[in-house]
Amino acid sequence: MKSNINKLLEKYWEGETSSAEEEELRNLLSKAEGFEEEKSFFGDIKKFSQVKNEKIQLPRLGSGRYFWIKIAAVLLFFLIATTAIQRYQVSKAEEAYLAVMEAFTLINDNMQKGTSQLEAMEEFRFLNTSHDMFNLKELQK
Amino acid sequence: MNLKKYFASIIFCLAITGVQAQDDAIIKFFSKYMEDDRFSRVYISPKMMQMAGGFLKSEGENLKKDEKDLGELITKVRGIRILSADKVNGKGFYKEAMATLNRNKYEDLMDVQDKDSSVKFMVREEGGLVKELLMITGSAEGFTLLSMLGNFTYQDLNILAENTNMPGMKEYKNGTDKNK
Repeated sequence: MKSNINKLLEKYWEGETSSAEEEELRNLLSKAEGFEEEKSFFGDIKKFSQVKNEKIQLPRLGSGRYFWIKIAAVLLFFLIATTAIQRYQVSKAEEAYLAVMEAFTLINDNMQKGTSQLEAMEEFRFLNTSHDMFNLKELQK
Repeated sequence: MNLKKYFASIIFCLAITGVQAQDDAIIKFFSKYMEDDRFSRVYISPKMMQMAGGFLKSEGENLKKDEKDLGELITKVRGIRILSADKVNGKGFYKEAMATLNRNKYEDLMDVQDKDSSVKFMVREEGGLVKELLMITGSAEGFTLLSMLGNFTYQDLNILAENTNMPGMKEYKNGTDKNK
């Protein structure tokens, strides 16, 4: 009997046993003495084979008590974040605008020095339209 | 054939470096005093110009003509660099800046000289458009070098010369007066 079991076990580990031989091996093991490790191994396999598929129930989206509160919180978060980003961008744009204005003021102030003393700036507007400077009709008047 | 290509690429490189040299003089002057504590430096990047233009537009559609003109001018400016110093011998720096410039590339636009101060506006033109407005001021109290790059006409510059009611400018002037 032992040799039978050993032969079948050897074949089993080689993966060459048929299902009938495996059944026979289980029977022989249940009757034989010793082979504790093998018995527990086949016992565990039996337990696994008896496990049935059970349906796991996932909590349904929207069925929770705080579902809508969560949605509202997420929306509120995005609203606040968007507003904060927009305000930041506007403040940055305002800063940029004031920096440009500072530069323009510097130019303006210094150009005013020239215009107040020389009154030359009046002529700049005519630099691209030089013929207007010599408008004879106006000169005759 | 290859020799022709070789020479063409050399000429092309020289042309590019020649164009860049116009800005180099100013950048050289800026970088010389970059680490000098007596000077304050401002650089308004093209991105900042874009943001400033966007801010003016966001102020509403009912902009006055002056404000619209200003908005248009802002879109034409590519960047502004300012180097300024108070409580220095501005006349000395004025002379140094004038010596650094490649005078062939710049034309005088306005020159105001008196015993206390010197103010000079110069422009660099390309293809009928002003590519750079340069302002150099020097007095016993301070020195300012401003370079404004972009593509603008003389009419655009006239906005800067005449328009003293620029939106925000009045507030800025009031603010600086208070600080004094």
